[in-house]
Amino acid sequence: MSEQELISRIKQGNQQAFKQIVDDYQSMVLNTCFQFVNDRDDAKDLAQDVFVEMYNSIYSFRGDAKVSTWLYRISVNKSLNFIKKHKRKFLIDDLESFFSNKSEETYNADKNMEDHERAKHLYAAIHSLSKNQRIAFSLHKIDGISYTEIAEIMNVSVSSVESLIHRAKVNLKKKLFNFYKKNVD
Amino acid sequence: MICKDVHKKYDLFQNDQLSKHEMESMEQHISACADCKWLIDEVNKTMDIANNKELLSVDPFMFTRVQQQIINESTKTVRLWGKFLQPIAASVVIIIGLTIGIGLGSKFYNDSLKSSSESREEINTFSSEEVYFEAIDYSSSLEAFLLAEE
Ligand SMILES: [Zn+2]
Repeated sequence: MSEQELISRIKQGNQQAFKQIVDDYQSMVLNTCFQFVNDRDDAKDLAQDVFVEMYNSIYSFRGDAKVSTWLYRISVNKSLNFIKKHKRKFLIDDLESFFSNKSEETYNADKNMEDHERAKHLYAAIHSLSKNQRIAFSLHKIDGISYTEIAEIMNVSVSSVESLIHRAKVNLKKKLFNFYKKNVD
Repeated sequence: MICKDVHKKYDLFQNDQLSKHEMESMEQHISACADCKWLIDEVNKTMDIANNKELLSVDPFMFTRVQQQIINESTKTVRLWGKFLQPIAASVVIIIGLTIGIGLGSKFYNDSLKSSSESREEINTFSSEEVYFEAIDYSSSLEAFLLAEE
């Protein structure tokens, strides 16, 4: 059954068709949200919200659009709203990691712990990028998504996407370098 | 090259914007300086985290959870309807009803005032005529009676 057929069946209230869409796109939606919010439970809750919104706005879905693009867009919007709403929480994490000196503990910690710390720093750095750089970079890190798809989701040209991702990488390295430099000084 | 130069030129370095000569002297310093090496390694290792991000596995109960949330939200809407909107709607209906009622009532009142006075006039006219005719009848019959008496 084609996606369009599935969508028209959902519009008729067919739950089996809706289940098919949830099953097909759950991994994509879940990992897109995770890419933005960096927390398993939050990502799971957001993915659930994404499918609920999809169901509630099914009548506004244009026939010519791709289901994946639509779901990516809802996922990105939900994630960004979530981050905005929980800014305080993220800022506190950010500050904590910024002010915590590299203790002996961190030096002796296993690789997982080091990676966990690095992930926190990376996430804080991504979070401080401009909105479009953050969206482009985060989407780019999702498995299997092309520049063309990112351009479609963000409603910009492919060359803009390339430039956004390039600038995001340069800025991230710069931010991380300055952050780690403070720890060396 | 010293550490400070590496710090200053790192941006150009990571962006491949250094001259060949500067690039070489920077790489030379980094390979010899533990601090600078640690810094640059740490940045690269952190950037690698983004590339090797684990994938979350799907939740087998996702569809059930989604369905449940849709049901909960619709009952919430119903409950919201019952709790706030229904009394508001009811008050609005009552207010509209009262307004229409008062409007119509005063119209009817005026109309009925008009019509009752009209009908009163009619009655008066009619009854006076009737009285008149009765009077005539009476008087004529009295006349006839008196005449008959006579
Ligand atoms: Zn150095």
